[in-house]
Amino acid sequence: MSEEQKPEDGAEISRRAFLAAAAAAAVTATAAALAPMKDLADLPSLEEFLRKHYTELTPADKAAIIARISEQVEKKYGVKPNLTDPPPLDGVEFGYALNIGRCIGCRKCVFACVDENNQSRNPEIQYIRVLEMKKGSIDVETSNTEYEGEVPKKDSYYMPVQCHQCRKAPCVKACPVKATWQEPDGVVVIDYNWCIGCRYCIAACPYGARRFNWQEPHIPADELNPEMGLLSNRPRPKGVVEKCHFCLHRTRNGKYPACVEVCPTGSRKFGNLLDPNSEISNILQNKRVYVLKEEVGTLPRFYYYFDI
Amino acid sequence: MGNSSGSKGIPMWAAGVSVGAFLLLAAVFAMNLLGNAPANDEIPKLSPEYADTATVRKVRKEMTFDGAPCSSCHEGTEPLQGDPREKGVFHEKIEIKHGRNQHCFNCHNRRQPADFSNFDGTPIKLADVQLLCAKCHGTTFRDWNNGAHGRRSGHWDVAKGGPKPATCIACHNPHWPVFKPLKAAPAPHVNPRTRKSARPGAEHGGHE
Repeated sequence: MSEEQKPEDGAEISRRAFLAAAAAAAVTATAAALAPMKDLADLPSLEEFLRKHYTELTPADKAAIIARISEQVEKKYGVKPNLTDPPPLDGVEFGYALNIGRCIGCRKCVFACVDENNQSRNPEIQYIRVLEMKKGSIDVETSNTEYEGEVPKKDSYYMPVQCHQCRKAPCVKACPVKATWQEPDGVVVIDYNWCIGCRYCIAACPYGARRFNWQEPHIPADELNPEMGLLSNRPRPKGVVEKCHFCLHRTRNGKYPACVEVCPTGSRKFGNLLDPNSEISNILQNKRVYVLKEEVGTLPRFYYYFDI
Repeated sequence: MGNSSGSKGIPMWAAGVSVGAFLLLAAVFAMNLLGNAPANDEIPKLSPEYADTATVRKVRKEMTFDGAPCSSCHEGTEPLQGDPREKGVFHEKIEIKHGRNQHCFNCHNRRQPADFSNFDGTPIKLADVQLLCAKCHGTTFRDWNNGAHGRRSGHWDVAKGGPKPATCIACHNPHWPVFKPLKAAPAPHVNPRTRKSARPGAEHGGHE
């Protein structure tokens, strides 16, 4: 290489010997960096690895998957789950309305949701964020989510935000592997086994509705809700995105979502948009309805309304 | 190392540095010198009351006072005459903060104290108390019937049994009907990595 270095510094090592030593050291470093992988216990089984996308599953595939997941849940939590996959109902499109004039920001919906949908307790995952807003302002940037104590506070109103189940959902467009899509009843669902954890959907969502499992979710066994849906509240693995799904396992069986049932003020309304006599249709026809971030063109199925 | 192989040789110090760098990396990884991510905080166990679906008030099934039926005192066809406060201590604890209503018989029935009173004095049963409230709150009654006002539980699907609306007095105290403040359930827990205090220079740490 350098002619002037050679004469003064005679100590040299052949290129071959250097490459051998450097390669050995590099392999050592790589091995040390990968050492934590020896603790990996939850590698997917072969069937899991070769599983098809949810929409391509035959009923037999689905039954096998349900049996397998039930077994995994029972092994991990000691509770036998009633895991089902209720199909979308004909002639039903779900819609949600929330009375911002009545909501007092007590956050009961947040915890009813956590209870119902087996969200991780620590690290904490919650689908609903309740924004405390200054009266007269609709600027979500100045909202506060960390209020405590007695509610409602003076000069504040409360705007809970969760997945809006958009008709033109940006998260569905953003997903590179089609792990999230819109069902015929309007609910945007996630195939937890198909999600690769890239979190593009989180970046795409204008409502901040999606949550990522950065760590293995932790749910106390005695708090596990055994009524589970395959696309809704079955326990999620680490590294996938989850979000509100209008309590699919409840609503496709005709029930109200957990947040609607728990709201002490009756601010939360849910029903079939295609039924002209449903409470949701009535609200959309007769109340003042506000769509959050209407200008982004997502056409949500989640509406805010107020009386008069 | 001959003269010809000299051009292929690597200076000892350079080889040492590069091999040493790899070995240092190996030591950093193997001994976990970078340390772990901040540990998770303790998050208190969820209190079941946060997800309790009970209404804020208990709806009584029958009109009683201290377990005794109204008729045990308010017997007879005509109500007590004179100032009720002179008759003894019975309903003093009731605070009336219901608009301009200051009188028991604005709502309670004169002749049938276990019932309520319609415009023409005909009784309204406790089970139909929404009809009493509707006397003044007509638009709210309309909304309640249509599902826009008040709590509903059960099924949205009429074919599966339909919704069960909560009655007015399940949420409103009829003597003081404004909805009372509640204690908020805990605020969302902020991850130790993203907490503002952990990152003094953070610009996107939460709100305000």
